[in-house]
Amino acid sequence: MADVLEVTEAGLYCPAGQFWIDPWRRVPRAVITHAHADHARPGCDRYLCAAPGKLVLRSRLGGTVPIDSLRYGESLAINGAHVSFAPAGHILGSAQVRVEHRGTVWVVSGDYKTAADPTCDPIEPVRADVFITESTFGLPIYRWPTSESVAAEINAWWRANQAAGRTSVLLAYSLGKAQRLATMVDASIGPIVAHGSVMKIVRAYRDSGVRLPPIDGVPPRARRVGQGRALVIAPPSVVASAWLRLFGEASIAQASGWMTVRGIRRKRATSQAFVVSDHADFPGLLAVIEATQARRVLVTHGSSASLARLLCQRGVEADVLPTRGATAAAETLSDADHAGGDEPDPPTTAIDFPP
Amino acid sequence: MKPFTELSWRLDAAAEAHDTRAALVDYFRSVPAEDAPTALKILCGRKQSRSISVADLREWATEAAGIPSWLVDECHAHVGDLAETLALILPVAETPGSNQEIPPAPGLTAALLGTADRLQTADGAARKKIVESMWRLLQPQERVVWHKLLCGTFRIVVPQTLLASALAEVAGIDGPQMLERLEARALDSAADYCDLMAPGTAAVRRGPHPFAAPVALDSSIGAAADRPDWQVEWKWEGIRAQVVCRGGVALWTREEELVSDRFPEVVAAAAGLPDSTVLDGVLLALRGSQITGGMALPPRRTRQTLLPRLRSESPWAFVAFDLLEVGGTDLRAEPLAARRDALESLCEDHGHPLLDPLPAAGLLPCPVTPASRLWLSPLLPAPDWSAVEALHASARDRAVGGLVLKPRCGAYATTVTDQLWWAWAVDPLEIDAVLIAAVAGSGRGKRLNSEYAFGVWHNARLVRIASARVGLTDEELAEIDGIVRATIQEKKGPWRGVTPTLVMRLAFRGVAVSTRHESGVVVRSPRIAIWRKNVLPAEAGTLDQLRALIEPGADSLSFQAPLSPPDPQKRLWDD
Repeated sequence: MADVLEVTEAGLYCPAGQFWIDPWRRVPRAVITHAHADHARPGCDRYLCAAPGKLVLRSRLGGTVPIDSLRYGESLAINGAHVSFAPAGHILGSAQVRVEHRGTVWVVSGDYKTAADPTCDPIEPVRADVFITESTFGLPIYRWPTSESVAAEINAWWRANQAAGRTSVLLAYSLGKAQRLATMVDASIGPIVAHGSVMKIVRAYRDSGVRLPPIDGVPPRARRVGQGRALVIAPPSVVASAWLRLFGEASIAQASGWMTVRGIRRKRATSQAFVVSDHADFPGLLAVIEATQARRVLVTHGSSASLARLLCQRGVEADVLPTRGATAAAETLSDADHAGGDEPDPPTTAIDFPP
Repeated sequence: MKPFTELSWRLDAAAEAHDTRAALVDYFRSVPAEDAPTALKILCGRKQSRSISVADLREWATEAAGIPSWLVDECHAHVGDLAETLALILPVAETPGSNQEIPPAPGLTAALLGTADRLQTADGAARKKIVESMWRLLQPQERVVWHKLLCGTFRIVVPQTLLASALAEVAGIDGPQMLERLEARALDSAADYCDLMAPGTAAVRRGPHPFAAPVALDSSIGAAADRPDWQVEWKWEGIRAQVVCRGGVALWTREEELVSDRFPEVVAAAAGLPDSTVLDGVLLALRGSQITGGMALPPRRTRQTLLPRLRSESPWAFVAFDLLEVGGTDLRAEPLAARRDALESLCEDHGHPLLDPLPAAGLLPCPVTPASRLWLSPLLPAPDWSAVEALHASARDRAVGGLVLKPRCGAYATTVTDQLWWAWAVDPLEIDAVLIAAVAGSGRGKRLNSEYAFGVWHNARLVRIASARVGLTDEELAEIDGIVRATIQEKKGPWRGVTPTLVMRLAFRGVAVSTRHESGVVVRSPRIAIWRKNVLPAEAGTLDQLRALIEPGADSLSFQAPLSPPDPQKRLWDD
């Protein structure tokens, strides 16, 4: 029996339904797990995504390209293959793609997390015969602290900065992480200011019905904004840019799952770091994989070889799915492509050598 | 453990001395007195004892985490530091709030010295129990620090002067006074610490004064050239020391080691000096009537017993360049010009001769008589900057380490001021060498062949001359790893002999004759200067070229590794 999905030049392809999932080339029909740049690339003829993420995807792709959407759980038959979406808990509208063909169910996880996030629906594991999982943080050193404890750390840092007359600049990816952080912090401490790329997504989130605390953009030609008091949320690309001068003396912090490791914190060279990720940590990955009850697991993106080996030792048939970005070298390149820095947690550390 | 852990992470992240100092002040403001002496010893870089082996720690942590050993290796390669890896894979600590029976986390002294004592008296299984019970009490970041302390691999050291300045602020006394107290007193108990921090008068000093350390002159050459008031001296290659005359003569090195009994000839020479006098200078090794350079210091300081043969074959002398105290008067606040006058008249009164500042060529000749082993360092004639540059260019031929520039108006500065001395070391030597073998690195560079052996040509074959691992970027390391893998000729354990294809330019501080090395020479502090991509292996250097670089005087003496002060470079956490 042929596989329901296979890897082609353009990405993960369903021969029965003649569509691609998160393709990395221009294809006639793209099914999108979520709107991050390494999953949703422009240039396809037609897109399909989960309904809550439609406005976000539109703001990313722009223009008038046709975007179809399905509510979570709603099924669509495409040329005999049945496609549906289940929440993945990664960002607003992120979905796992369930494809059923002739009684066999394949599920593509996209990126997912198990931690609570008020800006999106929580993950719902789906029973699958074959589960294609991400493994960005697929090493046992990655275990996230609770959102509450990280929020308390960020609030304490913000207050201490205010007391010392410094602006607090928090670096995080514009889509998803930035909005989640805004809901995590205590907005009564002071004003929250966001970079233009973050504001664009904030508007898409609000239009989609997500409740966010008051967030101010930076007015054009402003010379001083929120100096000494504000929490500024901006993408990492603003480091060492003239834009940061608007805020006067500032303490810069990085919010990412990679900040667990001291060596990576040092490389990023910010004075503060918080461990917050929109990906599942190691226990989260194992829990979701177990919940799918899949007889076969294909691991992609990140520490895929280690996770696949561990799953095999635990009696699950597991393999590495070689996709683009499966090696560190390729990943570094693709990061350079998206210089905007909106990628979710790119592992651009030199520590990540290809296996 | 928690306050000290926070301090460690703040010091680790500190970009500037200002941040380091602020972190220290915050810590010592609130530290309990029983933990302070332990913390001070660690931060001063005192030798740590190892109470547990890394291998044991790794085995027990792997078991506690319930993951296979290969996965720990994977994590280690990703993290780059074993102590940190183990801290991160261990089960999450129980928090005191969730369970009333859990005791509060232990303090630094209890966690370190207390555990070390218990470990010493325990055997296999009991040792494991002790470690496991501590893991349950510590958060991951605390575990990293605790692992390193227990294994003796904690490498955050704070410069003494910075530490003294922070402590002085906490205690409310001035910096130099705190520095003296720090160096003069034992620090073993909470009472010692309270003494240290007590307001009041200075301690009675018995050891040496804090040493002024020259700062390397590299990018700031231009700024130095603009200042006219330099006193220029040779940078002597030997052992920096102070002659301390206080009811007898004592010799103290910069590492605060008392070495009087190693150098009896110097002690005898200084016996005639007035009481309460302190000279700063360098211990020099002699050969015949000449001074040997830094490449060939004969063994002396490290010997348990001083054999008569060693005494007669390789005598030592002391060259004084500063006077810190004379007849009980502290001169350190005086300008250098005044101290120099006092030093010159003291030497004249006691018959200690001035060395010839500019001998014709080769080694510095010096008058050696049994009576006189104490000389005055000469001032070099440097009317303008081009003269300084000419002196610097001739330094290597004279077997000295370069020049030291001192502001004439400056006090004897041990803290960061604009009156610092500058050391302008001789330029490194260079040779093109061929990469002949590689070994996989550990930790961070684990998956790459990132440590290399280099050879030069001799009789149509490559002779190994040095190993080097620093000087290349991560990208270059990855590229070289690919070439190494493609050209492997032989494997012996981790050793990968390769077909010679890669040429690197090595920079090094000197070369000496060696009886222990296959090539017959030993290269001092080699590092990779540049990857010579357009040079063929056949065009690389030869052993004869390397021999021609041997320092005058370094050709017949056995080699001793050069002495250097403890590395002030912090952040060397890598295991």
